[in-house]
Amino acid sequence: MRFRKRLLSCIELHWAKRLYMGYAVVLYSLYLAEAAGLLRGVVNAVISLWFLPALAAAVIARRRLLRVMGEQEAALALMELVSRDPYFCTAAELTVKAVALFGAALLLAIVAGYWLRDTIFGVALSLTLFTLLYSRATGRELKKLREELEFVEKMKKAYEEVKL
Amino acid sequence: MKKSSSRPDLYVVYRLLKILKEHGPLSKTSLALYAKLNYQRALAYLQHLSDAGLVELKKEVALTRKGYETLEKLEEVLKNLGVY
Repeated sequence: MRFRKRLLSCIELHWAKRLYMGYAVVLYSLYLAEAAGLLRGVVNAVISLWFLPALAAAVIARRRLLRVMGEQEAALALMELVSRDPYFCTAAELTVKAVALFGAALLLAIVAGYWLRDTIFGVALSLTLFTLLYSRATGRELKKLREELEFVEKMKKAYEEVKL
Repeated sequence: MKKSSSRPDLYVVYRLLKILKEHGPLSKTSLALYAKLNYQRALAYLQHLSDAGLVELKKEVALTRKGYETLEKLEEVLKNLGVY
């Protein structure tokens, strides 16, 4: 399951990147249209659907994975993906973790700020929490990163041997 | 195979070569069925494999020497990755 899991998350991240880029373009265009007075209230509706690209990416990735049968084929498919864009998956996974961490810290700070009735304290708490959590997570991730980079190099080398 | 690019998916190539090694020469229809591929997609792959000299397209599809060697190389790479 090792390669299938990796392949799934890699395809998912590729599609999430594409879809979120499209989402950002649409959002920005709508924002400009609203600023020009052509639309009203659409931006907020689109912002509330922020999770839709991620959901679509998850569905697309799972459908794509259905075409791949077994671990051996998954390893070959992953080899091809890695050879095309070697460090994308590693970098994207780290970015997603950082964003999730930031979101969690922000949420905690909002709750704390609301509870303590002090916005500035909430912001300070958010930054402190994020810094603490990020430094802890980075230490752990760096150890994994070395193994990950070795794995990427191994995959790239293997693909060079067998590419048609 | 993606219509926009000429490069075939390696995992499908591996699947086709492996089936041909296990079953011997097969008709295009049987090969497409065994590989669980759409017939048109299978034909596109077979044409590519034939152009690369990995299979011989006659009444039946058969592996060539180069095809065997490519499959062995793929299996060796998979072994090195710990999935064979």
